[in-house]
Amino acid sequence: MKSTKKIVLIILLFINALNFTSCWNYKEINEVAIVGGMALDKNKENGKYIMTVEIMLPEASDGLNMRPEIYTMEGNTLFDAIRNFIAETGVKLYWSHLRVVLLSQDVAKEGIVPTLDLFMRDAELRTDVWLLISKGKTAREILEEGTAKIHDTVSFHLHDMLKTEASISKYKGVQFWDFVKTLSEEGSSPFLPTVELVDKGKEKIPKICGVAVFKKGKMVGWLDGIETRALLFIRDEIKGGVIPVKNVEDFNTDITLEIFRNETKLKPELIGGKLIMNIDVITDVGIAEIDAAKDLLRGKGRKNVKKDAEALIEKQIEKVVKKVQREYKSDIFGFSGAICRTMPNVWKSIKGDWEDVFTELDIKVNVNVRIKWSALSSKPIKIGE
Amino acid sequence: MIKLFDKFRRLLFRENVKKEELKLEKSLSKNIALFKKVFEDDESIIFREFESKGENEIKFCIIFADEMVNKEIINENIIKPIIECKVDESIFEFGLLDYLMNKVIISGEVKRVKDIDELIGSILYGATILLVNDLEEVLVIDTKGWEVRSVSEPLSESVVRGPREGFTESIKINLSLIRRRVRSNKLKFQFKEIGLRTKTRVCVCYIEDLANEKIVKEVFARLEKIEIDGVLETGYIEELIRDSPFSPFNTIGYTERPDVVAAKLLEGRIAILCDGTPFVSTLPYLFIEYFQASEDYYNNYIFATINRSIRIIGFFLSTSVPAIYVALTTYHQEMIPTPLLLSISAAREGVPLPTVIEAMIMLFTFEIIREAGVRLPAAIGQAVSIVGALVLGQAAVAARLISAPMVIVTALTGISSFLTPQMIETLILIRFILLALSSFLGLYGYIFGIIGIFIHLMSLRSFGVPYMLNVSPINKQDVKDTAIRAPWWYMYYRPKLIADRNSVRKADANRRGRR
Repeated sequence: MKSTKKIVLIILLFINALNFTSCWNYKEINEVAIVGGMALDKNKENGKYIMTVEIMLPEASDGLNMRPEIYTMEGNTLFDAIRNFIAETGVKLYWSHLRVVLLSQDVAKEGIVPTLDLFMRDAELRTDVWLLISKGKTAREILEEGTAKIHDTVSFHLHDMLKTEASISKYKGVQFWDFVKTLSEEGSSPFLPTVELVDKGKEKIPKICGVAVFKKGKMVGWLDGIETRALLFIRDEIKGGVIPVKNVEDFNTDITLEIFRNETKLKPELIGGKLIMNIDVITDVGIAEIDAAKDLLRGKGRKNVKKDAEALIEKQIEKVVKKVQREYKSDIFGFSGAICRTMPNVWKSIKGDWEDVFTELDIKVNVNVRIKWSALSSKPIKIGE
Repeated sequence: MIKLFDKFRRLLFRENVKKEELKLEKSLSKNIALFKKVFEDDESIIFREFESKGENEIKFCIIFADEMVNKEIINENIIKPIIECKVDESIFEFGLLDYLMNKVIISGEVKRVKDIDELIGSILYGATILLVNDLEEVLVIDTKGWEVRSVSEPLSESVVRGPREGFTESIKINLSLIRRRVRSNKLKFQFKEIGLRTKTRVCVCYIEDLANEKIVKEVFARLEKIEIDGVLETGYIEELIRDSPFSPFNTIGYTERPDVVAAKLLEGRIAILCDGTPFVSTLPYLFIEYFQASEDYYNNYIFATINRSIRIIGFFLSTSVPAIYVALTTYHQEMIPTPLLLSISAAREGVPLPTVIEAMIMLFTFEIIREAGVRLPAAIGQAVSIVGALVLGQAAVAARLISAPMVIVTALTGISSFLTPQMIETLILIRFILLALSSFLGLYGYIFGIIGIFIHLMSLRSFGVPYMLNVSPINKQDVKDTAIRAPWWYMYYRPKLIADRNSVRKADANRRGRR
């Protein structure tokens, strides 16, 4: 009697446990088509999506040999296109290793929220894919025509570029979940890095530079690399990168500073009923390179370099804020968040017409560049006489 | 099921339990005839009749088993003194047998016996019995003498550092090896005869003031209940008295090394020795003992700790690697880093078998090679390794029957199972269960199996001591000799549940023998 009860209990446990397995399926590893990258365009004639995927096909040989294969498919919706692929590839596409999604600027300008719905909803697609906007060419052309040198595939090449952004700071990789998060915040707007094809002799190489500015769900314009760096300064997302300072002390020489650490604080302030945004930037830099035989750091030199660098950054920040305020009217800097955090009452009153407030917002930039390191030597290479 | 088994066993042994009633008589010739009848058709039993010198000559007869005795002792210490002995008046004062025992026979072990079963037993265990005319009592003289293998290095548990003595097949030598290590009057050896036909001498060995009284009693109670035809190895006894007989995990340990037995005795454990085998059982046995090696205690404790961690990791590798590999490559491709996924995918290109079958075949093949190697004469061992390495490894991959990662998985699994040699059989079982589970439920099934195994382990007990003692719940004192091996000056206590009578190993923690 007792043992029968036990057995029944165990069987019940097993049956229950099998109900919790969620999404699973047996599939052999060599029977899936691993997708590395996806490009989305729209057919202007019939309004259908054109989906291009880069599939990694491993080839059995000595060592790892990978052959990227490009497939293109049309579909009324993304999922339609995804399933249509089976007719051509023979196997279901495997999306878990999807690295990058390229969206053509046309799709982005129309509004990408409906396009990206599938990424949020579907279990197979991950939300940690990098989103990119193609500039100039269509997204499909970038996947098809671009040649990746270090990796065999364009997708991996782009993925690597986005991962090492910290040392260049001229673009900013944005993952899908991050994009959606910014989109859902009150007042703020997202941005995505842009990719274009650069002609290098016979080959066309994909290059990421600058960002595409969104206003809520729609793309409204571009920022170039320098502007992007200023944007990152404001957003306190600088982790590295270089600042070439030109014509220091009117000597017509360049000094290159390498950013090691940066801290930016956005401090909104009410002065006489007028909202002013203080942008306090504190940057620790090292001297990476001096293109002159003269010792520029002697005496007042160091201070002058500091002053010039501060002026440069200040100017760039002011310029980008002006540009975005005037042309795009889209708060990609996170000003709304800063106001909301520090003065919630004020935010409540201006929330309704934030767009107008943002365009009229005055900013005050304080940059403090601290030159802390100069690598091994403080003096230039000495030339014997 | 166990009940059924018991019934069956009783049925089998019913005949043997019957006893013939035999009794000694006064007449020497009748007694000789009696023994001749007992040992009918057995030509190795020798009957030697002789008489003493003197006026009232007395008739004697000695009986012994030819191959079990040292003849020199019989000639010099029994026959010669009796024949030469002059019978005087004192004989009648003492009684003849006492006179012989006290004044004539030169032997360390002589006793008077009436019981015929005991006499037969002693003859068969190398004793010589002396029958005297007109007496119903017999003298049993110890004259054991047979060839034994000398003490040599144990093959199954070799060490780099540590004593090189191993137990032999002779229980006497084995006991001496233990006694030499623990020279204490508290060390107790208690003998039992087990086996209806083999009458094997089994010795229970423990240190009186350390071993848990209840466990000692329990051991004797269980040994008492054994009913078996013959015992040839401690394995028989282990299987008959262990807890959870259907569990794949050993709840009684075994070793071939006297130093290990001595160490376990000092922790309050009990050893069971059995005549005819160099393997000694120790109990209670805990799960963590699989991972403890004698060398851990002789080497630097830091390295001992590292080695133990390696063994524990090896346990997990050996049970889990094939299961996890199959789960990841057939269910959870998203969990493999992309470059690795691609290289596995490339390696599997053209392999006809599903990953699970591939894994089963390779693991099974490995077990075949292992089993073939174990019982193989050393001279043809090389053939196995060549076939194993080249044909089943390289050639199988080159022919695309097996993917290269699977060979690595198999090799890793196989090699790590050798880290805990006493657990190999258990490991194989767990490995295949986990593999089967993860082949149809993925990682979910694997975790399912792991939970099941843990529940099973937690439920095990060895002679009342929880099998996972010192593993969970973690006790500050007992953890010192588990995954880590604390330095000796730091281990103040013996394992509490095992050595409950005297758990303090040393009172002063700071006495280290230096400074």
